[in-house]
Amino acid sequence: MNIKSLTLTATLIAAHLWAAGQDLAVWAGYTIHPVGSASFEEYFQSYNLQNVNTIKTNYPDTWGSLDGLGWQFSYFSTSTGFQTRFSTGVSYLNARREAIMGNGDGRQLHLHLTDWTIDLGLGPSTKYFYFNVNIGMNMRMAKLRSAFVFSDGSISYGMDHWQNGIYTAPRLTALMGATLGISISSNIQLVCRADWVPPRLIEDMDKSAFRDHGDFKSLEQPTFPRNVVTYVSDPYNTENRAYNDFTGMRYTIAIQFNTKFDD
Amino acid sequence: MKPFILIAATAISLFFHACEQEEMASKRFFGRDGVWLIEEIKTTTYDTLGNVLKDSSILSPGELIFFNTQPYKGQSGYHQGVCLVYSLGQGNPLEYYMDNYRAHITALQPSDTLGIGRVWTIEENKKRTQVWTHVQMHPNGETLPFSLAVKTVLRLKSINAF
Repeated sequence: MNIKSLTLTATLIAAHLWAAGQDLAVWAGYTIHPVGSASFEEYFQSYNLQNVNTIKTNYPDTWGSLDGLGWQFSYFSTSTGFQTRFSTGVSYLNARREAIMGNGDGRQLHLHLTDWTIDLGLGPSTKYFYFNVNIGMNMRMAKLRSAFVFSDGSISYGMDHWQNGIYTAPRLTALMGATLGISISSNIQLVCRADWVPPRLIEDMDKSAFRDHGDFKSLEQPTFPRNVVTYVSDPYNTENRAYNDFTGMRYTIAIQFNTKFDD
Repeated sequence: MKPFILIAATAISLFFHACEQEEMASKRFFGRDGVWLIEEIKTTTYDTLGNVLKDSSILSPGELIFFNTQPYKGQSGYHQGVCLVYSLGQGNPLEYYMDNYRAHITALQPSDTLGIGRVWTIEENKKRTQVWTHVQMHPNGETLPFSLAVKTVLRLKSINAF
């Protein structure tokens, strides 16, 4: 199943719910996402090791947490205390990490994750709260900006260093989670949501590699290295690539507005 | 309830618009013809300890003209333009390729008099002004420490801002 068929299915479900006169809700919220990534744990460790004699401030061992804002749009129906909810939403998450050398120069990685989710939620609902168990899909586009930062503040994405560049990597996964909505008024709710973004559904690793598209690195490897020590000794090893393999729990707190079409 | 729905839809649209701003930046060059005055080319040379060895500046040496062309190289996606050099009274055809962070200027013919044929980092990306930076390191190979050898800053000002 590809993303186009998923979108078509989602559109059909949404159209059905719309035609049936279901309720509508929209939220805006803040998301925090502690991530694990085997690729970048190896990258960070190998970079620190490669530059052990000159580095002043190491990269952290992991990315830690990304955070950012997002929104969600949903249709739902409630019958005899049981709610069915179809939702789609986007979260924009980012984090920045730096390693600094003894002379003040350094390397900076800026990671952006754009998560687009489509899911179905089922669970109990009362006048005061609702609780959904969610299952769906998560399309994640990761963008990695890798720059050399000089001590005078100059930043370079250019070809003065082989790691510089703007790398992107898509990834499609399943999504499992739960949502708790607490009513503040008849049309406003405080929503807490937790999702688990599991390992990928698509097993084709090549599609999830961080790759610098465009024609900026014609003389260099277009993919971001996973192991810096390996790269320095064997720069043409095409297996030495970092992947969009971020996984972990994603937490959102949001304010939700809802209404009915038929009132 | 209709006003509420309209307000919610407007809020979502504005949110999307804000998120898309960054991606829209490169369309300033791709989407339409544009004439940009090269206000300044500033070059600073450093020694390995970070001391300034030489500092030079060229004011208003020419113009960059970017055409709204279909990329004629197909896969690589380069567009066409011209670099006007006032002192020589000539225009040098060029090819350019950009995203929101980098600008690749190449294939200047017959010569790259102003030295703009390189991959620039776009440090300031505004509708009427652009600041591009190019740096060179001291040649230490792939072993650290790297250090800044030459920094070139190119300041552009839109002549026909849209």
